[in-house]
Amino acid sequence: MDTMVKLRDLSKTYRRSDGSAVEAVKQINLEIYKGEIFSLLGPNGAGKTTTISMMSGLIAPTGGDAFIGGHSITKEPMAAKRLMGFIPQEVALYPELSARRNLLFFGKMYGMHGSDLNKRVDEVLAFIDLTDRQKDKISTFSGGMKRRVNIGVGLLHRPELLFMDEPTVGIDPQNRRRVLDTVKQLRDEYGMTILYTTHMMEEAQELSDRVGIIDHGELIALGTQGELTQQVREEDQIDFAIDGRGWSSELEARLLQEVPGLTRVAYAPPGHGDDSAGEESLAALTAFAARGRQALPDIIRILNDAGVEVHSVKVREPDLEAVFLALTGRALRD
Amino acid sequence: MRKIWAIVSKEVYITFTNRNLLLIMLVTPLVLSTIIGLAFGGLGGGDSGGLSLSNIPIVIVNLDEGATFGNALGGGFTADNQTGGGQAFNGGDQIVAILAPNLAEGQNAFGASGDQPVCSLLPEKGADNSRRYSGTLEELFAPALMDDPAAARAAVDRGDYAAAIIIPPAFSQAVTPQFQFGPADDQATNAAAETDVVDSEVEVYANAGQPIEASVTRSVVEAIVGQLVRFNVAITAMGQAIGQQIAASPMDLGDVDPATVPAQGAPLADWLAFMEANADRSPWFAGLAAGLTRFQAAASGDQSAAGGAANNDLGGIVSCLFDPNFEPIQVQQQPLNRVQEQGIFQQIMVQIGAAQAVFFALFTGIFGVLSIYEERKNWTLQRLLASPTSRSSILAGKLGGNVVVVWVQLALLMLFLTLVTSAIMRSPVNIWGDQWGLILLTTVALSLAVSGLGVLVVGLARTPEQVQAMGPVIAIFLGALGGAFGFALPDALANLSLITWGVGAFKSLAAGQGDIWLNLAVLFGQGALFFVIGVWLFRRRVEI
Ligand SMILES: Nc1ncnc2c1ncn2[C@@H]1O[C@H](COP(=O)(O)OP(=O)(O)O)[C@@H](O)[C@H]1O
Ligand SMILES: [Mg+2]
Repeated sequence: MDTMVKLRDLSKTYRRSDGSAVEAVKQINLEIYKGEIFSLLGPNGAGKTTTISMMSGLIAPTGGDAFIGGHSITKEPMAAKRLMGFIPQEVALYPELSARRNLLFFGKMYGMHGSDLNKRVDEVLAFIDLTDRQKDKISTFSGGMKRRVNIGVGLLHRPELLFMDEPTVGIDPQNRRRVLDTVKQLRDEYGMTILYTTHMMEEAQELSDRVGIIDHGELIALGTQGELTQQVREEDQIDFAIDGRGWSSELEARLLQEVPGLTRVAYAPPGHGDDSAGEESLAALTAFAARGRQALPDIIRILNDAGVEVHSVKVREPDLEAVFLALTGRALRD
Repeated sequence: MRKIWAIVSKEVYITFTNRNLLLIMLVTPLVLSTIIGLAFGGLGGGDSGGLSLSNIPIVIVNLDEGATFGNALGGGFTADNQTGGGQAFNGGDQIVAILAPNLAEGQNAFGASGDQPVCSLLPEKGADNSRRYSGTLEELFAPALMDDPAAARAAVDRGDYAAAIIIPPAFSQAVTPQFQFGPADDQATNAAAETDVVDSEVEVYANAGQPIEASVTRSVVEAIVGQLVRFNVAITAMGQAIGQQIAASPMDLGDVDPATVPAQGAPLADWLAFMEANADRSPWFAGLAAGLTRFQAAASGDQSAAGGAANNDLGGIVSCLFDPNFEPIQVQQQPLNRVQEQGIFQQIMVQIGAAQAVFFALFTGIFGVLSIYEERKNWTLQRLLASPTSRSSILAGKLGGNVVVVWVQLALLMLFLTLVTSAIMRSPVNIWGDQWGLILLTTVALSLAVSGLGVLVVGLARTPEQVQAMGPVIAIFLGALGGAFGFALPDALANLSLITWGVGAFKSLAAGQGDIWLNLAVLFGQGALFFVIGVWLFRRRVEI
């Protein structure tokens, strides 16, 4: 498979004004293949934006390099930039200009002009379904419409490679659906290579050919969804909703000791688990066991012995969430 | 280059489609300049602060050889009067008497009392009126007399005087009324009057360093001379009107016996008698007869006919020329003090307007550059950086755009200032002068200096918030030094402000002088220096 993007020990250390250093990205190595959707999945503050900013030449890496279509972003930035479209996490538009003027202006920044540019702007407006609102100022648009123009600007020069940084943040489900469909359409119909960052497992799961999981600036997992879940495939994940009052580290030790096949236990106190909506007092207990269904009765018995009330039990097939949990001991959305 | 231009146009477009911004950039300075201009525009005395529009030092050189009034009035006039030989008239002395009443003693125009001439045709109010003028002019000027025009010009060049007023030998000749009855010689008369005026113009030699003062002097002298010339034209027109009325349309005279109509070229007294005899036939005759009677009476020394005026010399008559209440014939006449005010108002609009324009442009300069921070916050800067556009081009576009925005703001303000001044003066004026090339050069130099200052300020500040706090302080400081608020500071301080240099250039250009190279050098120099240092600092802070 042809490589579109290659990161070599890409690193960024921010220096704060008080002198302290933040290692936002730590020596990331990865490749993105032509024509695939590659998701960079990680919680807020993981370093996704910093990585994408270095790859698109906005900020200089403090170590390593990124190669776009073989061009080093640090040494041949113009050649690298010509290949890529960039869709920032924020709505990066001039609110006082109309949608059309925004598109025209940024088109010129990609070296387009004249009737060529005008025609392309028409196409893009049609693609993002805003032809009838093109003369209106961005400041009058809804969040979803702004997002669409934001994406449209990145498509103007028909780039082979598209960087999308959390393009669904802060929009309603309907517009989110639309964005996700667009991303797939861009790959399937236009053969674009897409780097898509998100903190939402479902999006990565739906879109990605391959996924990189990033946490605290480190790439902790990389591969197709199948390859990643493989790492946790031998184990089932059992989610318990329990009354957290009886929980203790002694109980955790007893579980690991007495339940055959139980490999790991993760406990999230009340209010932390993402599945406990509406039941504030419930804690989340996640257990990983080689044969989940066999381990289940033993776990429930021990919990009952300790006086811990079990409210619900769910045995799950492994997914990206499980991978993240398995690798970090934390839920993705924490 | 194309990309830089695209960024520049975007900057200009965004700025000039923002209504709130336009209010601050254009309307506010315009309103402020007008208010300050009107507040300082009156000849209210010495409280105009730095404009020092009182005690303007002037020097007068009176070379006027005078003219004989009687001769000018034609043979008929003198032949019929015992005084004979006519009256000696000296317009130059008259100007001296008006501008420098304290120095004019002994050489007052008609050899009479040497007192201020009082309009004898407005007996009740005459004294008051004349006092109003001399009072105003006394405050306005600190006059001196000289004999040698070259020495006077040299003294002006040295800066001893703001202006020299040089009255040429043929001045009186040119402004004395020319009587010529009958329609035949219309054109000859007009032509003669006009060429004479041109040949014998009073020269106002001005000091380049005091353009407002010089300009005020010029407008006052022009007003005085203008009154003399207008009177000349008026009298000539009156004579022609009489002749034409009679020669061209004898029918109008109704049942007048043609035999009683005086012949062409008949003595003025005959005409007078004729008109008085027929006064009941036409109000026109009555009016003319009354006017001519007074005029003739004054000229011939007949006290009873002059309406009981105490003063019967020609000085009294001529002083009427400067009285706004006396209009010998309906010729457009501007009262002297209004003409003066107009000159000053216009000058003040140049000074205050230019200073205010640059002052408000400073805000545009500083906050325009600051918008780069805003673009970074909005991620549009990042979007630009991600495009195949060099950082230098982006910076050049943003800063170039700022220069252009500042330039457009200055140009629009200057245009509007001229329009507002014209509206207030009720006549179209271009207050900036007509040296378009130099005006353009000055605005460009100013735009660079203003924008450069913006880059420097933003580069020096650690954060945008610091710029928000310090920017206005710096602008107000420079504005105060540069006289944007109507008071001036000593040169040593004022010269620290780029506004001073810009305003100085505009004042010179408005006064018709072109020697502004020092100003341009200072402005371009500041601009270049600010830009170099500012951009260097700025790139370190913003990583662009
Ligand atoms: N300009 C900066 N200066 C200092 N620290 C920064 C800067 N930008 C980001 N960081 C820090 O770097 C880490 C990664 O941030 P970011 O790349 O924005 O994460 P993500 O996009 O995954 O949410 C965070 O801890 C963040 O606080
Ligand atoms: Mg981010």
